[in-house]
Order: sequence, then C-alpha cells, then structure tokens
Amino acid sequence: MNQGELRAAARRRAAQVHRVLSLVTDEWVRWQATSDPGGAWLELPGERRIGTSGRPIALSVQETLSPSSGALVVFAARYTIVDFETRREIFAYHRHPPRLDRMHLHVGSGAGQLIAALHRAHLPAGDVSLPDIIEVLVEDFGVRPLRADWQAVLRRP
Amino acid sequence: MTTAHQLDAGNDGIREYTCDEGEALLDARARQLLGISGPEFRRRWAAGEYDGQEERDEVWQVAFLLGGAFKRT
Repeated sequence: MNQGELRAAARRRAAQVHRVLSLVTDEWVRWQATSDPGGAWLELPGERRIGTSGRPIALSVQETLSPSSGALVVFAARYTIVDFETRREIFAYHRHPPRLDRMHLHVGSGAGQLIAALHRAHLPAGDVSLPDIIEVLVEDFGVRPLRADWQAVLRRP
Repeated sequence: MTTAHQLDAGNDGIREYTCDEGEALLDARARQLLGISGPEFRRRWAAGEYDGQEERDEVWQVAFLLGGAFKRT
C-alpha cells in the first residue's frame, strides 16, 4: 500500500469511526497516516462525557491501525469507560500485541459504582470492536444515543 | 446547538494530521509523559526496551501514536 492509498484508507476508517462515535458524542476524532513502515493512529482526544439515564460516564477511544489487503485494520486498541465524576475506570478493553494479541477486558475500581449494571450487562468478548462497545453502552448502561436509527448506523458496513 | 444530521455529514469533525504534525505530537507526548524525545522513544520501542510495559498508561499513550511502527517485525 503506497502513501496515497494509506491515507485514503485512513480517511475511510476515520469516517467509519466518527460515524459510530457520533451516535453518543459530538467530539472530534483525529487521525494521522504515517509513512514507514505504514499505519495510522486514531483517537477521540481525552475522555468525553456521554449522556446517560443514570450515572454520568465517559468514553475514550484510541486505535493503532495497520494496512492489510488495501484496508486499515485495528491491531492495537484501548476503549475505556470511566466514571465521569470520580474519574475511576469502570472497564476497558485492551489489545497490545505481541504480548497480548487479542482483546481483553479490565474491570476497574469505578465498577463498584455501577456494579448492578455490570451484573446485567452482556459485555462483549472475543473480537470486540468499537461498535460493540457503543452498543453495550446504549443497551446496558443507559447511554442516550443522539439518533433514533443508531442501530442501523452502528451496523452499516 | 449541534444536530445529529450535522454530526454525520461526511468527514465533518475529523481532524487530519500531517506526518510532521503527528511526529510533533509523538515527540511532545513522549517528553511530557516519559521525559524523552519521540525519536528516542521510537528507538527504545523498536529495541524491545518496553516489552511487558504496554499496560503502563504513560507507555501506551505514546506507543499508540507510532502507528504501523507499533508492530515490530
């Protein structure tokens, strides 16, 4: 993948992620394409509060991307949910190869404030994506989506 | 007030960094969190000096900005 193709792929990926995040936040996504050995990063800067029907929580997103078959694939990531008031981490999904080349879940001390929701929640496992995270926040943590058609947007290829 | 329609309009809201801007951000974050330059962090990362420290928040916050260089070959 040459530099032009890499940047085009990064732009497509950023647009997809922004579309997903726009369901729950109006904050910016920022990304950068790098030239050697190829790849990009993408993040939602800082922790952004997202509206809920209960306790306020915040979401942060960071991904590192690598070219594969003409597209950019996520190979390292952090999706973090924190208690907005106490700043304590509730849960987070990490992937950081080569030591842990699979998504894994961390449950933080902030989970104590939301333990009832965690008991009810169907936390995704396996190949967890950002849309998976958004879906569980809306369905199990009372996050209010900004669009009525959020499910259709979430699953749009 | 921002509307959902405006939020979903193409690439609106996405900030694109040039490679130079990305390198500058990597350098600034490495200096802020680890007290070293971006190029020095890149060298140490490639040499495996941070192996096993990927969960350290300050290491991750710099490393993910490496993009493709995160994945050492």
